[in-house]
Amino acid sequence: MTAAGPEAPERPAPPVDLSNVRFSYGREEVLHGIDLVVGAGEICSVVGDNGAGKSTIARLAVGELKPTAGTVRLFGENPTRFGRWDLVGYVPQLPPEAVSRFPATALELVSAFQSAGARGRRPSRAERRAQSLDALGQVGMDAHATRMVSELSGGQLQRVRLACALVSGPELLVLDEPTNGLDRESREALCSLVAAAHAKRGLAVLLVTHDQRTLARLGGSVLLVEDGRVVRKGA
Amino acid sequence: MLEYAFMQRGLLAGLLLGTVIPLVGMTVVQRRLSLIGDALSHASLAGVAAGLVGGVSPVAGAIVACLVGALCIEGVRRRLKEQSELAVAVILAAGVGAAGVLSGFVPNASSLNSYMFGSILTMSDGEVITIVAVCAVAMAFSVALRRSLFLMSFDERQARTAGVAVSAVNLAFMVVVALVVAVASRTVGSLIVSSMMVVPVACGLELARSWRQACLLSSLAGVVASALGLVASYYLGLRPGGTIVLAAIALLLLAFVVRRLARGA
Repeated sequence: MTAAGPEAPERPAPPVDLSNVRFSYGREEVLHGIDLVVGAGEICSVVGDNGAGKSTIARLAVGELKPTAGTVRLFGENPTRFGRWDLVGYVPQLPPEAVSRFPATALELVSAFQSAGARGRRPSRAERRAQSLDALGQVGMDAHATRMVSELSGGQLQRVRLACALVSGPELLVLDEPTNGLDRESREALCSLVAAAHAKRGLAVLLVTHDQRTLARLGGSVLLVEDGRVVRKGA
Repeated sequence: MLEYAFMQRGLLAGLLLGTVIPLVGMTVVQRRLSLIGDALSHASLAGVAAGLVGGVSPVAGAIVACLVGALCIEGVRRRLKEQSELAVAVILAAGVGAAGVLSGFVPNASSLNSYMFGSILTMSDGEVITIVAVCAVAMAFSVALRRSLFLMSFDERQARTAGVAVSAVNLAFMVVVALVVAVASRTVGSLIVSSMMVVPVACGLELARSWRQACLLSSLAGVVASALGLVASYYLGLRPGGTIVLAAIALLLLAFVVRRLARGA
């Protein structure tokens, strides 16, 4: 008879875990067996040409799309039944005009994301305002809090969207082409903010980009995707 | 004017709808679903015609037709997201077609006409109570789910990852829009209610400096347009629905001028 030893502490599930994932738009399969794990505190970038399937991977990771085969886990759970959205900050691609014509201030926008995803008890209005201003401060936009988002530049808008993703104190950041349409200065500023958030909070980051310069700034592991397949993994 | 019970009822209904329709319209406009108002208003007209032909309450007919139309639109929207505009256009066409056919069987054509362009003269206490109840539900819905509606107006995908039950809220929102459009057919008129979903919102957007201001100013424009339209229709013997919409357009022109002056200052 052997005495049972102390149980090893259970390892927390990785923020993102895609296993042999396939996905089709209609009859056309666009992802052919993708394996991808983003561990806690890791940065993983998915790169490739337009149409390679990069954004589809991000959308599958957050449960926006359901895989036709394989499994997707978000913090160990099926994303379609996931309930802890305060752990996830997501910045999807949006047409610039969809954001720029929205009639809200930067503070209203960030505050709405904060209150909808907050864990535990719902913060008071004053707490929401303070936390939202803090998130805007982290991306250097607190001075523009009461400006309409329609009046912001492309770079400022992306920083506000990053604040929306950060305001609930997530453990995973999913960024889909965050530097699209930005000039060099704005692109570098955004990369620095993501790198700072990663360093300060130990955030896991899943970055989808075709921009090599963004990649160079953030580091981490890299998956090169071509025609719906991972053709290279590296650092 | 207010000594007449029909005017009291008309003003109460008009002011409530003037508050609620733009409030709902704010989300409709921001989600680029403005055509939904048109589609449901035509469905409501078919329901009104069916009610008149069948000898049941036309408002009840409008409510049923709008709910069916709204559920069809939402069903197609969920399955064919890229074709959602087509779904709205199909419901609009079905409403026009059904209303056109059924209108041939309506015994008194003027009664159908009063629902197309609005009438406050023949509104019963029961209809006013229905309008008050629907407006209370729509107002409570808009206030209770304001953050969800705000986030969904910004981007449905991000709303979902911010914890919003997008499918459930979408369905509930469509039901609320259908109810508001159906009961508004009595005062504003089926063919004009969609304008009240858009024009006061345009006024609010022209002057607002935040989402909250845009909602408040849109409702204020709706209330002022309804009051002006109903009073003018009483004294000038005009149709209330058309007069309300023209008053709203006058307010929009005024908002353009105010904004231009504010920019120049």
